Amino acid sequence: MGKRRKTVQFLWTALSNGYLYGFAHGKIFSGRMKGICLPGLNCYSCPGAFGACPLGSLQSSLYGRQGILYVVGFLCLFGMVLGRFVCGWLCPFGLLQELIHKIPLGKKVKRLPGDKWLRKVKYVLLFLFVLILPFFLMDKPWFCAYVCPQGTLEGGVFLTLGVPALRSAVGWVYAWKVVILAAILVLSLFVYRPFCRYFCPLGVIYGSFNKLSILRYKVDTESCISCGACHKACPMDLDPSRKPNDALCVRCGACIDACPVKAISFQHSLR
Amino acid sequence: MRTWRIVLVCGAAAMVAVGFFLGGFDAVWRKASMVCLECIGLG
Repeated sequence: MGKRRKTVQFLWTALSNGYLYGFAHGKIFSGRMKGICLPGLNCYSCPGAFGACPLGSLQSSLYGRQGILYVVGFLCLFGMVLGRFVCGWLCPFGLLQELIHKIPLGKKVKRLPGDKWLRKVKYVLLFLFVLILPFFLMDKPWFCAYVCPQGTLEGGVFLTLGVPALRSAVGWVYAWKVVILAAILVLSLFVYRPFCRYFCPLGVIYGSFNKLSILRYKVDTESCISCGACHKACPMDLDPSRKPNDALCVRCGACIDACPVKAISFQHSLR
Repeated sequence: MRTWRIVLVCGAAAMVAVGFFLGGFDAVWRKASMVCLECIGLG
C-alpha cells in the first residue's frame, strides 16, 4: 500500500503541476483548465499548476460573490466521493511533509505538546480566515494572504525566484509567510504531517465527509483480534479498529498493512 | 444510508453543474489564471 500510495502522490503532483514552461519563464498557466478545482491544496499561482486551488477559489468566490455554488459543489463532490483520501493520496503539500518526516533527524513524536488545543486551530483558520473574513470584509483571501504555506512555497518562492520585478516587491508579509512555511517544514521533521493535523482548513472540510464518503475504511469486527497493531502503526495516532473513519484519518493505509488478520480494508460502495 | 449517499453525491454534482452555468467556472478561471499577489505573500 505504501509504495502504491507514494507512486500516486508523485504522479498526481507531477501531473497537476506539470506546466514546465511556467517554471522556466516565471509565468503561470492561464488555459481554461484553470477554471477547474483540483482536489488538494495546490496554489493556483504555482507556475506549474494546471488547475485551481479549492481553498483559494472558495475564498475568492466568497469575497467576489461569484462562483460560490460551483466551488462548494467541488468541495462536496470530492468530500463525498473520496473524503480525506484526497489528503493522503492527492495533496502535494502532504507529500512534501511526509518526505521531510522521513529524514532521519531528531526524535519522531506522534503528537506535539498541547495536541488537544492545537487540533482546534484548523477550525479557527477555516471559520475565521477562510469563511468569515473574506465574506464580510470582501477584500482578499485571508488564509492565502497570511497563513497558507503551500502558496508561499509553490507560488511565492518559485515566482520570486523567476521574476525580478516580484522579488523587488517582497515585504514583511512575505517574510511572515516564509517563517510559517519554515516552521511547518521543521515541525515535519518531528511530527507526521503537522500542517494536516493542526492547521489545514481543507482537511477539516474533507474530514467532515470521512464517515459519509463513498471511499472509506471498513473494519471486520469478527476478524479483528484487538491486538492494537493498527493503532501502533497509525502515523496520525488514531485507533482505526475503534474509529475507522475518524475525521483526522488521511487514509494512508498504514493500518491496512499492519493488520495481521486483514480486518481493515478500503470499502467503496454507496451502502 | 445508501439513499443519503446517492442524494449527497448527486446534490454536489448538481451544484457544480448549476454553478458552472451561473458563471462559476469563469469566476474561478479569472482568478486562477492571474498571479494572486496575496497568495504569494506580496499583496
